[in-house]
Amino acid sequence: MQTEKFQYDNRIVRNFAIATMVFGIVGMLVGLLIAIQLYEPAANLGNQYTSFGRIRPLHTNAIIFAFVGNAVFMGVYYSLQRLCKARMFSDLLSNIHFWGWQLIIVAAAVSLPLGLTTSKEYAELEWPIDIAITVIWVVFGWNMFGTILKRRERHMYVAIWFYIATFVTVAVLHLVNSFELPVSMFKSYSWYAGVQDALVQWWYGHNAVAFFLTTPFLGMMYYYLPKAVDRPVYSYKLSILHFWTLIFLYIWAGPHHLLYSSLPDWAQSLGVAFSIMLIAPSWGGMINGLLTLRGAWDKVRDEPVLKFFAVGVTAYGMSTFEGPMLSLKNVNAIAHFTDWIVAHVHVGALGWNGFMTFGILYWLIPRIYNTKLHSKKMANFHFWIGTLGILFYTVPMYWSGFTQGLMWKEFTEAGQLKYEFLDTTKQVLSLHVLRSFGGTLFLTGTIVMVYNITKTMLAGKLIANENAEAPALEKNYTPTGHASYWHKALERKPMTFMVLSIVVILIGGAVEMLPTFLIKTNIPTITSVKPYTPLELQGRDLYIREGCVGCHSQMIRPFRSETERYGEYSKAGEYVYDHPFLWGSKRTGPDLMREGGKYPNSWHYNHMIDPRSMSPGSIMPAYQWLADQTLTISTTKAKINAMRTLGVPYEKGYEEKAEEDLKTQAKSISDNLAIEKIKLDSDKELIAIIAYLQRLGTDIKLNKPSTN
Amino acid sequence: MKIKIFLASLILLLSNRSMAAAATFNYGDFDTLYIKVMSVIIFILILIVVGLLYLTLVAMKKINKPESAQVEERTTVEKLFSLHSLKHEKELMLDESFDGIVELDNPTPPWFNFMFYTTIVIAIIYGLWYHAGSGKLQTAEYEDQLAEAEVAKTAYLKKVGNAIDESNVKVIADANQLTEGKTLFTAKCAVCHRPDAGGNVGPNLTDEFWLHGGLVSDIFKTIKYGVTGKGMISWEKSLNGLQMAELASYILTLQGSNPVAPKAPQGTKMESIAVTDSLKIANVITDSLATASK
Repeated sequence: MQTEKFQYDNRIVRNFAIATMVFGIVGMLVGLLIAIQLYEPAANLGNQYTSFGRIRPLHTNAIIFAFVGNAVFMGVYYSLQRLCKARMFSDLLSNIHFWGWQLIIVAAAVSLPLGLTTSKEYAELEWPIDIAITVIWVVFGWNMFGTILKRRERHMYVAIWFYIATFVTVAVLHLVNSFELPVSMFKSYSWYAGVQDALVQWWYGHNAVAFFLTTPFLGMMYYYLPKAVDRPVYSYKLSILHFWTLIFLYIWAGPHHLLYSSLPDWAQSLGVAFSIMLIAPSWGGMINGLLTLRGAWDKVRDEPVLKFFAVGVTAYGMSTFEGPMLSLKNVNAIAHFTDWIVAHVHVGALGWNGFMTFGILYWLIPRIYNTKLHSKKMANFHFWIGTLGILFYTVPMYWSGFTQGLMWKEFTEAGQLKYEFLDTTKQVLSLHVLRSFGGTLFLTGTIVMVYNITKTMLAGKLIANENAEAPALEKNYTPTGHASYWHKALERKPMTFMVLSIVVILIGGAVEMLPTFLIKTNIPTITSVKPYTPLELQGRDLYIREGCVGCHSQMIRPFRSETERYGEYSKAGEYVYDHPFLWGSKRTGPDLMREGGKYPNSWHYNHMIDPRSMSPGSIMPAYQWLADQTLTISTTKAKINAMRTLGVPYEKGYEEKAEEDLKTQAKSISDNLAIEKIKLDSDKELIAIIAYLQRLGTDIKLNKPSTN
Repeated sequence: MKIKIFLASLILLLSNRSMAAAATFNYGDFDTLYIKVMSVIIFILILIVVGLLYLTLVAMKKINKPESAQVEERTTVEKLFSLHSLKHEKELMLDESFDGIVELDNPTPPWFNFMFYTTIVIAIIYGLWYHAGSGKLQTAEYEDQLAEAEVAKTAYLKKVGNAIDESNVKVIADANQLTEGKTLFTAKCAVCHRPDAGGNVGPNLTDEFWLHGGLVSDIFKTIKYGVTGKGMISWEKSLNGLQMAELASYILTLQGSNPVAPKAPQGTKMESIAVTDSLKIANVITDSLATASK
């Protein structure tokens, strides 16, 4: 067969590499800023656009989709071409993908500080951006499959299996979780409510970790690690086993984010059981990676790229062992809502995603620039300061997490809660200072890397189109020898492979979601639970805009320590009108499920204007802009209509009356504040937030809440 | 091989039971047909998955093993982790490479398989324990916690003697205890009532007007239970009877003090009772506070 000549597209790889570095720095800087705000609230610069609630999602989105996302595309575009012995299917699609993705990131960077958010974690972007993500993701998939289909390599290497699984699963996750009803150009309501919304969200959230942060990196590990160490991959069979079991089992584990919540017990138990079974499939990847380094540990000592890979793979192993442990109910009871979870995800993000990305950048840039790395010394420095950064980040956060979890649960001998919530906040402040120090170290390392890589780029010259040659595939092919192994047949059929992986990943989600949606008994209704008033609804949307859910949960778990502190535990039926759900995943502040009626309106006013006047030592940011800004009430009608479409039983024609009702309720709160000598006009946003807070949890009130 | 088949069928049996149990034990009366259908579907799915897994493992066994590997010399570590000696690596290489990457035909290490099977068994037992065994689901676990706490509380009260509550609370005149009351007031009450009790979010506590009664027992009750809807929070979960009595007594000593910028009177004037109550102790307190401060 004749050899064909073609060229690899390195320019697109370079572009994604630059985007990775730029957004890595940006994402980490925002992370550092919010870390500082957790002990120095004034670090929000007194500005709504840089306040914790709004830019915490900016940090997570920037790291996940901008830094890690671009790193994935960089890694895939480089390796896929070489594994397929073909140039990317279409340069145009490559460029649309690149620029489209960067535009989405810019849109996120603008819209999140503006408070345009759906509040669903890692899916905060509003509906127009969701559509853009879908389009660009399809472009990526199209380009990828186009390349695979015109490959000059008979079989798809294991890295490509992971890329395929990534593409199809992220597409499914994004589509299902982003089901939302637009109310205006930049506002939508989740299609699902309460418990169902929570289930869908954490099916998404958990598997975004699995299929955006894990599977593409496993694929890249299978390419870059053996390339960099120049050793054979330890076990082909292990890769088959862990690939299929990983993608099948991962999908089921989402409910472990909702243990002890109002999610039905059976769904919680499935989440736990499947999390336990995930240990081995996850470790399969680590074992195959580490055993590939076997016999070459001397190289690991000298080569910073391999050091990054070794620590990255180990961090992956650690966090995938910790994950199942955190899913056990008794561990979760302590760890959930605390800094422990923050520590856990950062072992994965800094160690696995960060270090793998750094390793790939150091390996790949000199190659496409046909030069040597500017400074190996600097890369070594980066490795050590990065490792120290991870330690200084995670150790204090684990400590802080244990402290919070245990203090929240401690009773005195007389049977009273030993600590107020604020005591626990103050207790961990110094650990938060240490954490931001760790973050600074990690960021410093990254800056050194960007300098090092830039110098490398300047020293070399980009081989935009790298010459390569390979024979075309023969039409008639009969597998012989090893190629007759059963799995090899699948590796020759990309479309079958894709369909099969879709089937495998759909099973878990379907089994958990369908019953929760279809069987009424899963969410027992409570007749006293009524829809929000128009003012409360507007207030709720402000609560969403300000990102209150980033620090305050609305989910009282059935523990004595929580019902004593916050009141009666949460019931599934209380959330039936919550589009979206606002259960939260972190308690930097106390739970607000039963905040309604606890304090007078004047307390809330003072607390929002200056939190420390009412809660000395609190780290909550001040929200003075809510008292200055006028509430937009022209959206009320559209919001009532949208909610009705979603099944909230507002009477027919109520949308016409809603605005009037809103004004009446707002005036009553304003009047009530006036008695306390507080002058706040009834058209201010703060009035709506107070109305919402005073409603929270009051539809049922069985057990009196205490102080917190 | 027999053991493997036995294990596989056991897993199958258990998992079906676990699912069915999960379905039946959790709900009272509901659409049983749906659950039955779902159980069957889940059963079939698990059958397929475990079956496939099993077949995969069997199929993998059959892949060609290097002959010399049977007699290879291995270090203890290699034996421990079921690794082939690196010397035989060439024979294990598969005859295909991807951009120069070669894969080895190593089997999945037995300890890895063992770990995988173990986690599957644990997962099933975990599910069974909660849905068919004696493990308690969250609501039952919560009821237990409450019951245990009740027992502990009764035992504690028995130990320390009768607790102070609204029915037996008396005005306290002891200087140290009143100082304790002042400390509590500063820590817990001052943000809403101001440090001098002149009133802020909460009412002025130094005048003769009371919203919820000015007797020591009334104040005790207000502190203990709070006034839902009016913004006075309940403190019974974080202060004990003695502390609340100290606090209530300290508040009464503030009668007639002259706070800076007092809040306008709220509630009913309770001159006769409050003044009697407070005057009765006012003198004692002035003296004892003076003593304490020396």
